[in-house]
Amino acid sequence: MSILAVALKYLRARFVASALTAVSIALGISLVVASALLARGIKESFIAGATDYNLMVGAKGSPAQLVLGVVFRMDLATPNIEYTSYQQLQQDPRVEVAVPVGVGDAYQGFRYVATNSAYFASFPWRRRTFKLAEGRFFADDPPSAPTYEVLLGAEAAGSTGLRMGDRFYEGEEMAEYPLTVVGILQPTHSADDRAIFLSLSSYWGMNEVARGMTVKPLTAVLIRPKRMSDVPSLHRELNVSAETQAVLPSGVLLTIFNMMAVAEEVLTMILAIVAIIVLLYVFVSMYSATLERRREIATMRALGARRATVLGIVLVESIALATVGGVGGIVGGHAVAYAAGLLLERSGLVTNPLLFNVIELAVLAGVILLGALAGLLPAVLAYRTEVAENLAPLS
Amino acid sequence: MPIVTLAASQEIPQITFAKLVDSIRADSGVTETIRSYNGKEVAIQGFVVPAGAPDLSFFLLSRVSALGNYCCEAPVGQDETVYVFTTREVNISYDPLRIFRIVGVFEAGMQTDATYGPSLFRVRDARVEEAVGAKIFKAQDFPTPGPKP
Repeated sequence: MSILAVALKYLRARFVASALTAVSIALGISLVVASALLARGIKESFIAGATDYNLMVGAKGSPAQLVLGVVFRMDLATPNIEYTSYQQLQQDPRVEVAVPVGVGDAYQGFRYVATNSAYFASFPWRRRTFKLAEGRFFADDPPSAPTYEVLLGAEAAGSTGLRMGDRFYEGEEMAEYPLTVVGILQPTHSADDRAIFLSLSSYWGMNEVARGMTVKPLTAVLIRPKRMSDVPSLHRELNVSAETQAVLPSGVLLTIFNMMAVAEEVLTMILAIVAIIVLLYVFVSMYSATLERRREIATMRALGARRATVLGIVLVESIALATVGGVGGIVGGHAVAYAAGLLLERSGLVTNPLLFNVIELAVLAGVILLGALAGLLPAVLAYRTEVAENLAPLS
Repeated sequence: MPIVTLAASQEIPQITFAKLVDSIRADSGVTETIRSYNGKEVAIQGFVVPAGAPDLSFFLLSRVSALGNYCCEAPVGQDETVYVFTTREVNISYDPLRIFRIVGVFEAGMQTDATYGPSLFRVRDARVEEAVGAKIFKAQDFPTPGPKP
């Protein structure tokens, strides 16, 4: 019988203890893998979902709130700025494209985003493209004649069940101004999938306060300058103004990444402690198993098994436990990350938890190595088991 | 965040923003001296302005920080801005008030990129590291303060 066969037989004989040890390893590794996948996924989702515009102008306040609210729709919208801010930027000779954005309330949790046709336009410098799955884009209607037409993001359409031509409203105030679905977008894998787009005129027309305002409100203006080198001067000018703040969306995200990096470092320390605990558990499990079967080992030795064979059996046992636990941990980690990814999707972040990373092979190799290390002392104990001493009568 | 030390950094010519400004001639032309660095690996220090995507595959390197709204110098324009393109992952802890050192292949002369528009100075295939205690200009670029009376 080979060393592997004997080791597996021993593991089967102690099935409950072996299974518990493997599950402990799997749980520890799941934590490590899921944390790594989610941290990477969140960062990549922020990068993929970032706006193509280089500068964002909004009301004075938190830059993070402005970017998270307008681009990712994850926070409350910042206070309003005046529509004239957009008109001034549109006429600025340094600006190539300025896009007005108004972030409103929500229908079944999907935010209303008011803008104009420039938001969906294709430019050579844009990564994101907006394609229609059905229908058409809404028209840039004048404030005097809002059409109340909406364009649904792919997920907003799927989750609300709204279809082409459907008329809907939410709340008594809006009953007079039902919205009509005129188009549905193809998935963009960004927060835009969860938006209900409408024209600025419809946005102002829906709201009693905005209807009465002479200078209409906006949440933000997205800006693409003609020259990138004008970004700092535009940024400064719009920030020095008493009414507005300008933010570099990428700068805000990089600051968020810095904060995430600190959290990741703390998490890494916690996970390192978890790994040590799992390692100790494997060690204790193998050690007590070796102590329990000293008589068996002595019998094997008396029947002609060499010391090296006994050492090999114990080592193979711990390596087998580590391998099963490691593989289970990687699979479990992906499953946990998948479940967490579903929750994150509700906040507009799209992660890809099923993506396999080569580093996971290194993690598995590390687990097997550490498993072997944890089994080394019990293996040496088995190696040094004296036949005469351990085959003595029990009483 | 560990600071990466670039290999053989002593041999890489250092370009300052003062040199870039001096090199500019009429109609967005540049001197032959600065052109002689074209296609060569150079090092430049400045503030990172993340004007592109948050993965920093493109950003501006400026003599003046993008922050500092109520103090400091006014932002500079094309002449003191370098367009930086990176091809490998940039692993820095971004800070708008920290000076970074860029090492990459230098290009001088007006060029228009479909994605990033017109630029005068560019660094491609750049590596980014924090420049601890760095000065943007060389010490001799500043007048030495006289003795106090």
